Amino acid sequence: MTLLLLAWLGCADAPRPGADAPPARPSATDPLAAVAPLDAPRLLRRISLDLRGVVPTVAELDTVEADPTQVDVLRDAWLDDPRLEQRLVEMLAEQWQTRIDEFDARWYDYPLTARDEFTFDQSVGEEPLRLMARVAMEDRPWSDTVTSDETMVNPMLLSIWPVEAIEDGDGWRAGRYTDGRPAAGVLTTNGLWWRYSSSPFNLGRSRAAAMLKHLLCEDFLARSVSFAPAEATTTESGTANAALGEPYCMACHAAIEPLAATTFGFWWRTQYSAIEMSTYHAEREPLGPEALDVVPAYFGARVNGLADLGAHVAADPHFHRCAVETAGAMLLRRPLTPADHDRVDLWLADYHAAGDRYKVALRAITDDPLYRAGAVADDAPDALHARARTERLLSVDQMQSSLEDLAGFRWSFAGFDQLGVDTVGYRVLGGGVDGQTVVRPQPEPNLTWALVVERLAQASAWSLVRQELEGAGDGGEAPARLLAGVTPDSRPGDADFRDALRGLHWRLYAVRADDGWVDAVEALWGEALVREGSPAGAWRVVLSALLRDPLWVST
Amino acid sequence: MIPSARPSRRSLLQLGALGLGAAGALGGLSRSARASTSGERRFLFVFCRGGWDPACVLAPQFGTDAVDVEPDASPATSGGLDWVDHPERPSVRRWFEQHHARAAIVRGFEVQSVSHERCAKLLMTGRPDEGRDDWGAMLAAASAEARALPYLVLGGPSFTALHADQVVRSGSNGQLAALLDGGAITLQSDRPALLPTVAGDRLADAFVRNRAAALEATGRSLLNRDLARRYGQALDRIDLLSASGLDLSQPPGGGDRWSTFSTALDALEAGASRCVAVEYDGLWSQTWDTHSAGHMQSYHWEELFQYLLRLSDELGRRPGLLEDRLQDEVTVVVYSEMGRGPRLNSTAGKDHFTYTSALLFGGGIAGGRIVGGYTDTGFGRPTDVRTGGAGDTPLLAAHLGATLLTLGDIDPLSVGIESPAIEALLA
Repeated sequence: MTLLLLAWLGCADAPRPGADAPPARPSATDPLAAVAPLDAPRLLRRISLDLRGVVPTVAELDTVEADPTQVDVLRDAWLDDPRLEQRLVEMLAEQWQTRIDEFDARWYDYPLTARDEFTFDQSVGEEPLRLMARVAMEDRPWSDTVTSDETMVNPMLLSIWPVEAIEDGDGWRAGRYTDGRPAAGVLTTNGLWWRYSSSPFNLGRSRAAAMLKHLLCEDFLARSVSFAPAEATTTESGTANAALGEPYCMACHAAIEPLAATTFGFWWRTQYSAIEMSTYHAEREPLGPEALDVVPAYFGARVNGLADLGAHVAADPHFHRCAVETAGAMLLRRPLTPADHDRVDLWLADYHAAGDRYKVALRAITDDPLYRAGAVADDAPDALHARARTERLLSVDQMQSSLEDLAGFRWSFAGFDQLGVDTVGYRVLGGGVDGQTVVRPQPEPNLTWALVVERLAQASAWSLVRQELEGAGDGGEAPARLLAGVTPDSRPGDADFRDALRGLHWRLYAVRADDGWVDAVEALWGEALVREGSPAGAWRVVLSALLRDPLWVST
Repeated sequence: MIPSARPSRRSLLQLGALGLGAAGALGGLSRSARASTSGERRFLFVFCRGGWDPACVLAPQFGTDAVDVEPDASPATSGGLDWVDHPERPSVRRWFEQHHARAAIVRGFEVQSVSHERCAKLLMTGRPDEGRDDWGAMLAAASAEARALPYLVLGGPSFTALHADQVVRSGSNGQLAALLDGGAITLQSDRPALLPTVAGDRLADAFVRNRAAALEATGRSLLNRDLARRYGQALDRIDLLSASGLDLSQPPGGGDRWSTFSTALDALEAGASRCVAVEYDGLWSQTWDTHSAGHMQSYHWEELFQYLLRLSDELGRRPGLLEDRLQDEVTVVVYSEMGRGPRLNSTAGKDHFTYTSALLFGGGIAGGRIVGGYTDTGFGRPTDVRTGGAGDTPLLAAHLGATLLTLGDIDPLSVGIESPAIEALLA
C-alpha cells in the first residue's frame, strides 16, 4: 500500500484554473488577458469562504458545475447572507487592526472575571468594525460609518460602558452611547480610540494619523521624518515644538494638528483609567485647540467638533475611494498598488452608482479578473504575478469558521478563542494579524502556520469522527454531514467507501477526485487502520491529512 | 504552561523512516551534523522596545548646554570606546571593561520617524512602509543552509514582505513548544482532542507532503507551485526542529528573561537558526518609552547590561560550528527603535527623537570602534562610512542594515538597499 501511496505522487488533482481557457500570453493592451479565471466550483469556494466563511455545500457545487453562470447568482445571494457580517468584521479587523490583545484598560478594571478577558478585549476591538459591518449589511450609505449616532453593543459592552441597546437580541446589536457624545459613527466609538490612544505628549496626533490612514488611506506615518532640518531652530524645550514652527514638519502637521484638536473629548486626564476611558468628555473639547494652538479643521475647512468632522469626511471623495480600496485589499488579500487604480475606478463607479453601498463594491470586486484569478501565464511580468494572486491562504478566521461548520470544532480554551488571541493563543502563529507587531496576514506557509494547520486539522478530525462515527455530539450543534454513507464497517474497496471519499474531495476542495487519489486515500486508510487499531482511528488519520491538504488551506 | 518534560511525539520521529531523505538533503541540526554547515555568520538581535536614551551610556554628550545628561554621570573610556559611566550602573562598567575590544558603537544614525511602530520598521528594514523584509528575514532567506528556524523571533517585532516563510515566532507563552508536542490541542483546548498515534501521524505527514510535492510539480501557476514548495519546506522544517531536541518551552512573559536569551543561544549554537530576535523591554517590562520618569532609563541600561554580560560570557564559552567559540560566529546587534531628545521635558523625561545609537559586538565586528557621532546640539553628525569619522554622509538605519547584510555575505544593492555598508565596522 505504501508503494501505491507513493506511486500516486504524480497524480495530484490540482485545481483546474482556466481548464477551458488557459492563460493567454501577456498583452500590452490588456495585461489582465494573461490571467485565467478559476473554474466555477473552485471560484465558488473562494467566494463562499470570503463572504460566508464556509465552503460551499455539495448542492451548490453541483449547481455551478452544471451551469457556471450560477456562480454570480449564488454570490449575489450570499451578499445578503447573515454570515457576511461576521466576515466583514474579520476582514476589516485585518485592515483597521483594532482587535488587539490588551488595551490600556483591562478586564480587571471592571467587575469581570478572568474568564471574561478575551470577550472583553474582543468586544472593545470589534465595536467600530461591527458598526461598519452593520452599515454594509443594511445597505446604508457608507457615509453612515462616520455620521451615525449609533454604535454596536453586546452584553459585555452594555455592562461596562455608558451604552444602551436600541434593538432586541442577545449578541451584537445596534446601540447608542448615553453620555451625550457627538454622532460621528466610528469616530466616536470607544473601541477605535482605545486602540489608537494618545498621551499627554502626543496630544492626539497619533489619533489624527490613524484617521488619515484608515478613513482616507493617507498614511502620514509612512513618510520619512528627519529632524536634521530642525536642528537650527531647536528651542530650549527641544524638538517638541518643531512641529508647530518648522516648515519641513508643517508639511504634515498642518493637516495633523487641526485634526488632532478635534479628539479631545477622548482626552484622558489619567491614562490606564477605566473611568476616564469609558466616558466621553465633552467639556474637554476646547482643550484641543488650546493645547495644539490651532483651529480644529479638516484640510483647511474649519470644523466644529467630531460630528462636523464626520460630515466633512463623509463628503470627501477620498473617503469613499479609500473604503473601496480597503475592500479590495481585503478580498484580494494584498495591499493595493498604483497599478490597481484602474480597477479601483471601476469598483468605485459601481459603488457610487448604487448610492455608496459597500456591498455593491464587494460585488464589483468579486467580479474582477484579479479576484477571480486562477492562473497567470508563466512568462507574464512579475508585477502581474504579484497582482493576480492565484492562490490565497485561508486566514485564521476562515480556517476556524470553515472547520467549525464542517466538523463542529471551535478551538477555545478557558474563555479564549485560540485563533483570535496571541498572549495565550495562536493567531499570529497561524498567519493572522495582531494589529501591533504583525499588521499583514501571512501570505505563505511557514513552520508555525503548518503546525497550527496540523493541530487544527487533528482536532477537527477527532471531533468529526466522534460525532459522525462514534455518536458523541458533545452538546454542540450537529455539523454538516461529511461522512455520509460511511459506517464503522465500511472498508476500502466498498462502493460506498469510495463514494464517500469522492464526496469528501468534492466538498472540501471543490475539485472532482480522480481514481488515483481515491486509491491513495484508501491505501492511507488501510495503513492507518493497522497503526491505530480501529476504523475511527483510521478516519482520524485520513481526515487530519485531508484537512491539511494544499487544496484545503488555499482558495 | 507546557510541561517541558513531556516527551515530544515528534521527537520520536525517525527522519529516515519518512522516506524523504530530509536529514541528508537538508542538513541536520544535531551536533553530529555540524560538519555539513558552512559556517555562515549568524545574528542575534536584541530589540529594546520604547526608544532608549543613548546619552545615558552609548553616546557621551558632556560639555554642551544643549543636551541634558544625568547629574552623576561621567565620561569613561575602555580601549577605543568612550561611553558613559554612572555609579548606579556597575554592569555597564563591567561589560565595557571586559568586552570593549569586541564591540563597536554606531552613533547618531537617524530613524526617520517619531512613531514607535514606524521607527521599528525603519530600524529593521530601512523603510517606513511594508514593502521590505527586515534584516533578519533577508539574512535567513539568503542562507545556504536548510535550517529548522531560519529566523527565530522570540520577542519583538519582525517585518516581512517576500520572506514570511523564513520567520518562526515562538509565541510569548511557549506556544511553539505546545504546537510541536500537541499540547496545544490536548491541554489548551476546552475539548481536548485525541491525537493520532506517532505512526498514524507519520502516515498523515507523508501523505500531505506528497500532495504538496505533486502540486509543486504540476500546479498551473507560479504562485500555486510556489506555495506548495513553501508548504513542503515548512513540513521539512518541522521535522528538523523535532529532531534537533531544542527546548522551546519558555516561561510566561515577565518571568526569567534569561531563559529567552538562553533559547536564542541554543538555537544559534545548534545551527538551527541564522538569526534570532529577542526583546528587552526594560526593567519590570516598563519599556524604554520614558516621556516622564526619565530616571528609569538608568535602571533599564543596568539590567540590559546584566543580560549582556551573561550573554557575552555564554558566547565566549559555547563552541562554534567551525570556530572555537560561538562569539566568533555570531554578531550581536543591540538597538532600539528610536532615541530620545537632547533636552528633558517638563515631566523629567525626554520625548521621541529620530537620532539614536546602536551597540554591535561579536563576529565580524571591528572591535573598539566608534562610528558616527553627535553635534553639540545633540543631532546626528554626518559621517565618513569608510573611516567612521566625520564626513558627508548622514547615517541612516539603512546604513546599519547594509552593514549587517554585508556581514552576512549579501550585496545590499541586490536587495534594493542603496545605502552603503559602514566599512569602518567590518573586521
